[in-house]
Amino acid sequence: MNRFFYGRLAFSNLKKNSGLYLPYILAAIGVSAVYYIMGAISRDEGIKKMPGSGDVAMILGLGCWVIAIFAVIFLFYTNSFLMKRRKKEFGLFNILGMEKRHIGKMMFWEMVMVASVSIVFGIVVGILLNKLVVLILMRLVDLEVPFGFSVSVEAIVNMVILFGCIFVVTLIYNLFQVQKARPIELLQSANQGEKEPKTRWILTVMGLLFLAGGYGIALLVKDPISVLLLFFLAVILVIAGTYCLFTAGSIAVLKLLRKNKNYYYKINHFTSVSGMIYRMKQNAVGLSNICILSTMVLVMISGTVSLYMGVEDSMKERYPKNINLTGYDLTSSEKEVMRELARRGVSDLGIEMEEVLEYNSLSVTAYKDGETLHLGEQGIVSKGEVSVMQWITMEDYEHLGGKHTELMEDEVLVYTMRGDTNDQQYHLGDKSFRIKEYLPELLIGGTKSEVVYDVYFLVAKDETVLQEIQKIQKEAYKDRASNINTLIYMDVTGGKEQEIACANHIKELLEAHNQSLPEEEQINLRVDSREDNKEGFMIFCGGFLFLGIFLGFVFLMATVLIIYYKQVSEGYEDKGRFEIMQKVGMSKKEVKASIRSQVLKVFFLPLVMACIHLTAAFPMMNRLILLFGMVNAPLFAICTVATVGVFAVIYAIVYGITARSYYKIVG
Amino acid sequence: MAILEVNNIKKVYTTRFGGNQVQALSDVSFSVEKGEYVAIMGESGSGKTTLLNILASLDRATAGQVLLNGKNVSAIREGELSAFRRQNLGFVFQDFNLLDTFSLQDNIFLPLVLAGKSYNEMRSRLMPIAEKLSINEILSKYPYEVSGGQKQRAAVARALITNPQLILADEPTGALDSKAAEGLLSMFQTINEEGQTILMVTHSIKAASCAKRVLFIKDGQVFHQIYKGSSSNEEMYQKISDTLTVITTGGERNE
Repeated sequence: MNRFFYGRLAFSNLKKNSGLYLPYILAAIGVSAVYYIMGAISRDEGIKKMPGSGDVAMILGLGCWVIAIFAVIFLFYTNSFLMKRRKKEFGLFNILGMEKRHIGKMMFWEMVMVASVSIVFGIVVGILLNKLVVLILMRLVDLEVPFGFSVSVEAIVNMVILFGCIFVVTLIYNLFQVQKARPIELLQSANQGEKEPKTRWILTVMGLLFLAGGYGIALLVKDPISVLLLFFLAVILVIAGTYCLFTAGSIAVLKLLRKNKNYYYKINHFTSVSGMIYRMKQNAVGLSNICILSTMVLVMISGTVSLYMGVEDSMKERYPKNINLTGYDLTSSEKEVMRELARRGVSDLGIEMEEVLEYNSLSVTAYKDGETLHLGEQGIVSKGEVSVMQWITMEDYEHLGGKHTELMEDEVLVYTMRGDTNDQQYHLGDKSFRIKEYLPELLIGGTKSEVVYDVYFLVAKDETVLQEIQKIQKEAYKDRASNINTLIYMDVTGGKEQEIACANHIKELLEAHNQSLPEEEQINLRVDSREDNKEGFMIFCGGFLFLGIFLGFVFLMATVLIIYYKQVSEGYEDKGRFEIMQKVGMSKKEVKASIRSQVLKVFFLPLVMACIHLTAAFPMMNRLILLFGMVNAPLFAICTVATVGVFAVIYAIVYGITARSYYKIVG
Repeated sequence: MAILEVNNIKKVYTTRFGGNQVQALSDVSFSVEKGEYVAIMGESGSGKTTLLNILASLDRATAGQVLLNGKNVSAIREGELSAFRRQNLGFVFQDFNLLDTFSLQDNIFLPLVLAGKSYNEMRSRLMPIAEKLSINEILSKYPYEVSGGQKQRAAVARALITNPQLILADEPTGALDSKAAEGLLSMFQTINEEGQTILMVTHSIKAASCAKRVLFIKDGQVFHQIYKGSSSNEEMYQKISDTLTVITTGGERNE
């Protein structure tokens, strides 16, 4: 026999089944290109050179793994659709006299063609798009774009190995499937009568409980540290709940719908409800996959987008002014040096200070149990909420622009973020402080970025009170006790460059000052410029945003493809049913309407569920991104709604295309 | 009064690019009176199925007209065809054409649901029919859970439930074993005796011998017809088989 026979046969098979194979090959090209790009970027020389590249490389490396795992699952899943549709063809070949090893040879050639086309085009598309993606990434992290067109051989090799393995394993799996099946089974496997699924109440209830648990964690857990720990538990609970509800709950709901005679016996509902019950067993997993993928896309993109959009805000929160100096445990002469350093740093550059804020504060971490503040190591004291008590003096408060209030030694004014506002007094060690007044607002920034614990901001009579409190604190915390800090915040004239230069100059002056002194006399001073920190933070957030959008895009592609395959393969199964219905007297118009109703339900059930998940996850997400210093909840809400909107539009377009190709198959 | 009138029907199939023309029906005319039970016989390729499809308004004739109750079927617009079919015709197919996704009851309800009837009305129409066809015990079962004979009885119930003018049956016994086939045929006879008009296309002499009149189609024309009159099923069987012998061994000789 001609030795190219099987190759030619394989080629003509692929051509005949192009409706099935084209999306599969496109998906394989897409995933492999994405994998190459991820790999190439994480090895990109230009990116390695940029500041904070460690973070970005770490994030991108993570992305590589996610995409690799995803590629395996995804290509396997879509392959199973192909196999299901083609079994009849293989059965026919078998009956016509082809032995299974011949079919195997044919399948081998098919896979060789599919794999080589996918990988070659994956590399080409990947290399072409790589530059574009680098441009986007650089734009996102706000950095100059390096010139040149780079190809990473290492990334290509990695990609070829991964996808080669995937295709080989897929082929082995397919061969095994054909090997174990008898020809008659191959012929009939497409239209086996399925038993109607039983209503499984236990599973439904379990699904509800899982979901309630996940939602409960998301809504009720307030402490950000616990949020971080419980986040994954919540995610797992919600995923488990989704699977249970889609498998059991959907059948229960559909059966209830069927019991409602007035609903069920209507043209549109009649065929779609019965069709969905009939196929819910295989539908359920697909629908829950779609739902979970959609939720992940939405969470990822809305989270990273708002993180990125909020960079400016969160930097302003963390650094109230352009240049921020923090001195630790300074004597009054050292404070004078600190002021001098700031002044010289500014004047040496020929720029001016604007709006200088200066104050001293003592930050004490305490376990607040009602009105009692416990001090002690974590684990020893377990009662109460962890609270950060920031003490400043009346004098500094007035400097900051606060109204003067006559205070006794045991009286305080209190402002709190998220803390209790109904206390009469605080007990700290052997001392008590009466709360004279709760302040409506805070005059200094920087406290909102303390997001993990409740924050109390206390104004005391004078420095003696602060020192007494520090003494109490030192006894409890020994050498881990905090000190009274001196803070100078200032804005300077000039642009970004001047700000960074000024901060650097102050650092140089500080070093010069400290060099001449013995260690115990050196000033312990920290200098931050908002711009400098913003750059690093921007790279971090931009990296995350990039990963979010990139993975979001990949998952979206997967969602679309799964939906498409699902509907198309069901279209083939439904073809016969709709033919019968037309014979019995269903018009083309009614067929169309019924298809629309069915596809609509299948399509928007996961989307609605994903939106519910997202709504429930919102408070938790909000607290999570607080950990990154993003404090603008309305911005996050806007970003989330916008993401859902864009997603829904894309989803609707896919719906239109799918419904049309489904109708083409059926009608 | 003739419930169905077929006048000079002609059907020519043309291949897609207008190359070959195949004449399936050349000139078919006959009529069916109300309450009749007519069987149409013919060899494979004689044009039986084409004729049935045209009668069922699933296909359109190249020339000629079909009048159902005096109404020209070929003049009905595409959009109204389905409703027309639903209201006037009942179908029984060789391979049952029941939907696996529905229980037998829902299968039977399907044309009524399409017509927008309420559940209570459907239910009250179903009960006497189900009783008559003795399928009332298995109404909640699914097609793949019952025997072929039971499936075909459900299909008959689906055809009857709309009170059609005419039942069109396409080889209804084709997929049944002999016992189930006999049961179905006697059921057709009973239904016919109650006044239902039936037109059946079949290969089977046995099935045709139950009809009151048999039409023979050959080469796209009505070649011959015989009436049962007062003869028994067995005598009818003999008549049909003789006619078929004549047709197949060269009817031209005798004419």
